[in-house]
Amino acid sequence: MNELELNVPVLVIKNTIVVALQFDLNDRMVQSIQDQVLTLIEQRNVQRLVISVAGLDVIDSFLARMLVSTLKMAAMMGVQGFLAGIKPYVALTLVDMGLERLHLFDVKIVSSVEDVVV
Amino acid sequence: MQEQILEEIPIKNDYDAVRVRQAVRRRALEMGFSMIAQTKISTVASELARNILNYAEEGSIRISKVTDANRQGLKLVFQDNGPGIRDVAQAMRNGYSSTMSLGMGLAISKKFSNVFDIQTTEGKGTTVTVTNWVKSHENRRPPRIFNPAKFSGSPAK
Ligand SMILES: Nc1ncnc2c1ncn2[C@@H]1O[C@H](COP(=O)(O)OP(=O)(O)O)[C@@H](O)[C@H]1O
Ligand SMILES: [Mg+2]
Repeated sequence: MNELELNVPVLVIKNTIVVALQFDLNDRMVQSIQDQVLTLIEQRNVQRLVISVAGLDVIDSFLARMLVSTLKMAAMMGVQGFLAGIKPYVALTLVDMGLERLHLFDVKIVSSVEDVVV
Repeated sequence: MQEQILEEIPIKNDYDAVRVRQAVRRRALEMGFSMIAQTKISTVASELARNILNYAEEGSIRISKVTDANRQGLKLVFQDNGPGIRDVAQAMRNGYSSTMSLGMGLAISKKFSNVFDIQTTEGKGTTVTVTNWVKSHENRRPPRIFNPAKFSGSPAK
């Protein structure tokens, strides 16, 4: 499967899967991104996964949970996961929602994709 | 208190949920809420729209501007004719979910809103109303950007 055929932005750069979430996603897209990431991990020899949320203005508890579970599943397949690019206002909101309850302490957070893909 | 209805949006699928988030953010922006307030209000809208889709299958949101003597607020009414909630206190508890979900939606919605109200009848449906008031300082113009050039002269004697 060619990355260009994918209808959501998931691509492989060197040995890293980069998912750049853009705009406002509906739940079906979120689910499909998760499926595609797991398929790519199976098919390619990747070592890292970065999910960038720099394009998102809202992360609710459902989306946070999907992001964390995708990163955890990747970890179980031997792939190091990172969450990148949380906007300041989104970060503040997540803190007030409760990082612990959202399980955000369980994942590695970096400021941008460039911190992982060099 | 005066109420002016701005918009009503049916919530039937996850595209509608996206529309709801965007409409609520736009209205919050127009009313002069700060970025952090806009983000929190949009997060609440997302949680409550999602609850309608998950537990009642469909419903709607009514977005209104409320005005009283000296302040303005954004009022969101999420209404559905779903199964209702038997034990509201339990449902409101942060971390309680009847499914495998995180159980944070209602608790967050209450925490992030100035006024929170839930009316529910088993077998009839649920109405959740949240209101947020624009803080007076949010209505002011943004602060002027600090200009270091102005301060680059020799320090005051
Ligand atoms: N509109 C609704 N209709 C019926 N039940 C609801 C509705 N909204 C919430 N609930 C019930 O309240 C519980 C808690 O909701 P919430 O705090 O959003 O957590 P979650 O959706 O993660 O379970 C839900 O699990 C569900 O049982
Ligand atoms: Mg919920």
